[in-house]
Amino acid sequence: MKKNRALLVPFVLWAAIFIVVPLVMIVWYGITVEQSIPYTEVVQEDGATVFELEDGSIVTERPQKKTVISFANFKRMVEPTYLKLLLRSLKIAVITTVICLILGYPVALILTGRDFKRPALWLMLIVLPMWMNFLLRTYSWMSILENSGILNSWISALREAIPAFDAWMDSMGVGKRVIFLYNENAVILGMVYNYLSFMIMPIYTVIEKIDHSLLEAAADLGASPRQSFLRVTLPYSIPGVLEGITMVFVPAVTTFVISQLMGGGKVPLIGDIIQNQFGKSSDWHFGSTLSLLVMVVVLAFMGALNRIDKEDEPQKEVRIL
Amino acid sequence: MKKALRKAYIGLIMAFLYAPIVLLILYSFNDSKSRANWGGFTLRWYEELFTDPALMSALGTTLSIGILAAIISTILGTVGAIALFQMKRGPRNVLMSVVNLPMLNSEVVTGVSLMLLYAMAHVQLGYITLLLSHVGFCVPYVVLSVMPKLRQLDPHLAEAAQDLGATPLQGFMRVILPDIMPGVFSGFIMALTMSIDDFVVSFFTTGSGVSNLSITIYTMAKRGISPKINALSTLIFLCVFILLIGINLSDLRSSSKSKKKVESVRIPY
Repeated sequence: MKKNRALLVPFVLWAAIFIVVPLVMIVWYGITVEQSIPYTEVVQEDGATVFELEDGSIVTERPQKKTVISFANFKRMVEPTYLKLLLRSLKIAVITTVICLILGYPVALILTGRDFKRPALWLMLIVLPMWMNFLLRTYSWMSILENSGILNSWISALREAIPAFDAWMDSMGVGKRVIFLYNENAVILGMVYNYLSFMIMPIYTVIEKIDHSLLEAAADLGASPRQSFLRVTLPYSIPGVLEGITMVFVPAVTTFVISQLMGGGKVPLIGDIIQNQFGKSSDWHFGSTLSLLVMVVVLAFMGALNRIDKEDEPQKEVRIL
Repeated sequence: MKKALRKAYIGLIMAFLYAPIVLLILYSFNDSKSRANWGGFTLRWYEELFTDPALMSALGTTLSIGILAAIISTILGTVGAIALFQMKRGPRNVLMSVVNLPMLNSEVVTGVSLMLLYAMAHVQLGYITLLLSHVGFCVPYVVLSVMPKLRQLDPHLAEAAQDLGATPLQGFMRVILPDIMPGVFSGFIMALTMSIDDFVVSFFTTGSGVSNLSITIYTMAKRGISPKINALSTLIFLCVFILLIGINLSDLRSSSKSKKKVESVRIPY
């Protein structure tokens, strides 16, 4: 192919404007604050208003706020209020990731086994709901779990039909309506539902690629199915597991949609605070500082995972004793 | 026995994934505003959906932004992938990691950083900024899907074309492009679906009353449940279902013709 430098120009321009500059902006906003300049208004004899600054100089234009480099927002970030939010975000993301792994790994394992004639078709059916808009997916759970939602209407129908069930529910101290939504569990449910496929896909891809002769060799050498799972399948599937963990953890730790819809604003996460800073409370500088924090958390997390990946890589060569 | 257990487990997971959608579809035909009881079959919500100006204009925005963003980012991404491919190793790796940055970043960070960019450039948030942002986050995916096809390309093909008298442009159109077309196409599809599905970046980079479906659904869902949205979900789910089944059926058919074993079902993710 003949080299053509002209091709590079639009692409590099795009990368500079839409990737590099925005990131630089976040860093800049994150390490600066707006400071108002103190001044006094003086009405002169001719009726014109001038503004006297602290150092005695006089300007005719009303002094604007100035941007100064300051780490005040970093101090604000480690205040207990925000630290608690970050910890809660991390906790919920970790719980979600663990649940997705526990639910998703067996799915990938079973589908790659011999039970299903068309495993790829089943995988497609499992991923299919992900193709619906993710707000609609979350919304569907809202309409089920709402106080006047589908599940509650079924429960009250059951209570009318079976008096014993009604009495039991009363004795358990459950009100007329069971409250499912607007708490941490609802947020976790929303996340697991939305992100489960992100865990299944990469694990399936990795397990599917495992050379079957390895498993046959293990069986020939007398390994029980359990042993060959532990010694062959599991180690080889680690890269897929790690990718799945990243794909679930990162969106889970930064989401603000699920926490707002399923949590009804009662379970604010770090993403909600960032969204707030760019919306209602409008402190772009603090919002940027928090974004930097999120970036660092995500990068540190991925760095740690990468490390595990390298250490756990199964040996490629066969050892002959 | 064990086999039955395993199948039952897959069934349970499928039930978990599909139950909300099935209920949503059922209740989109329910002639009663509250979901508490079944008020008989109706198509009322579908009628209201198609006469709701906010939802219809949001649908228009989603589709037009999706198609435009997919076309622009496919062109930009393909050109970029070719340019990257021709670069020397060192600079290429640097540029590649820059291009990969948005995929490492969370959506919130991408959204707010673009918002800051437009504020700095004094660009009024609206349709144009929405489109630019969508192109922005779609390009890396196109690059990623075109790159492998370029690597598989025989480097002598283009030379051969030019030896036979083709201009570089002809060589590209007749030789290179047909070969990398599958990558370009899957990049286009990926960009289209990413754009249609996006909420977070759109949320931060639109304004002046321009809103796409995701944003409209978000505002409606925050206010409460409306059966109109059930109807909308049903239609979207049907479209997706038919589309995916269609893609995979045509795959199955073409591969059975060539007597190749079907190794995977395509899931353009």
